[in-house]
Amino acid sequence: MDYGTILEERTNPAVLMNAREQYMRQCARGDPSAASTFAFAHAMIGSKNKLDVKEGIVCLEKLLRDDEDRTSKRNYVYYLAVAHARIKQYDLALGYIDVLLDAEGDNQQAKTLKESIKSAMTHDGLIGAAIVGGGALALAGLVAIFSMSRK
Amino acid sequence: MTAAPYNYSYIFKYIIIGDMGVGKSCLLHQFTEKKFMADCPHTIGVEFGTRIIEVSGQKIKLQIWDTAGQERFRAVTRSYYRGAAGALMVYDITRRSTYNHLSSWLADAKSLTNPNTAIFLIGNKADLEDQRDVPYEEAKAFAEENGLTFLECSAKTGSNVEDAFLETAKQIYQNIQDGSLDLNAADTGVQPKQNLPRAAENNGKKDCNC
Ligand SMILES: Nc1nc2c(ncn2[C@@H]2O[C@H](COP(=O)(O)OP(=O)(O)OP(=O)(O)O)[C@@H](O)[C@H]2O)c(=O)[nH]1
Ligand SMILES: [Mg+2]
Repeated sequence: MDYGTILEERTNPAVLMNAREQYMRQCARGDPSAASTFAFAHAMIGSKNKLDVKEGIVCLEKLLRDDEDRTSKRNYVYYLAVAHARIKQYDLALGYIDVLLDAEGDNQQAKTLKESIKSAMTHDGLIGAAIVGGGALALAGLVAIFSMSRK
Repeated sequence: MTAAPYNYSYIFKYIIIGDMGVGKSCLLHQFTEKKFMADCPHTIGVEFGTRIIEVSGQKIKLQIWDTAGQERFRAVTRSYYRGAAGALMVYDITRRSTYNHLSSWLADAKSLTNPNTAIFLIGNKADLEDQRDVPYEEAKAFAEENGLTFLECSAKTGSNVEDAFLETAKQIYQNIQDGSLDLNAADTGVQPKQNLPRAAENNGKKDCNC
């Protein structure tokens, strides 16, 4: 319960199970709504299991691409940064948080997250390590989607 | 992650709930940083802040979860009610609609927290007296009917902000002292120091005194 930063937060297993059940039920009925997909993704990226986190990332990427609601996109970008940092894909995490900071330079919540990502990198001895090219490239497409949607 | 000394006896978990734009994030920021954010963007999902306070000579770390008021993500913010020892329910005294929605916020808080959760009602933006849309007496009566503690605050001037957070902690501490809050129960939102991880304590240093 004593978290240092949002990156250390983990989803309570009961909450995770509940979110999964609700999402599955929705999927069985047809296309799940953006709100319930997000609730599911949010729970998954807090899982201790790396595969769950990755599944959550796939949902968030899909939401970022498909959800027409402009104000929701910033939520997805923010949580994509959180999720990638939790599985130590720091180049992608920084890529996403910088997209948000480009749009909202004064956003304290985003600044705090960036600091947390950097301190996690320092902790893992990664500050100064080369940014991996492949990830950043994959990100470029999504960034374009986000920036366009701001207009 | 930081190796700060664990010099507190308890952690209390709080949540802050209420409509968009009522000033939840500003209240948290005022309490943790003693600053006012004039231009604050809507919170994304959920954020948290911490501050160590003192109640009856005991140091208590408050871990405060600030939720987004955006209706669309209510499913996410609802998952944070569970295991909150304190809930601050906020409306904006200059916007009647935010007050009218309190009954639905309260219904959520009552059904999703445990019976011991201290629920505190905050009428924020009290500095904007000339734009007041909700009379003090009316909110006070609502609070009394529902067994809530109530204060009008201003995240801008800081007035009553400390009191709201500290009063809630006092109520929780009181519940621990008189035994109505059972520390062994699940999801109380209170964690005594004994259960905390003691990471980075001796960090390679020899502390054996033999
Ligand atoms: N005058 C005045 N303005 C305030 C006060 N508290 C907050 N505000 C302003 O109200 C706006 C919204 O405040 P926030 O703290 O972002 O509101 P919130 O409840 O966190 O909103 P969401 O994150 O969208 O749920 C900001 O522009 C603040 O500057 C206050 O006590 N007095
Ligand atoms: Mg906010």
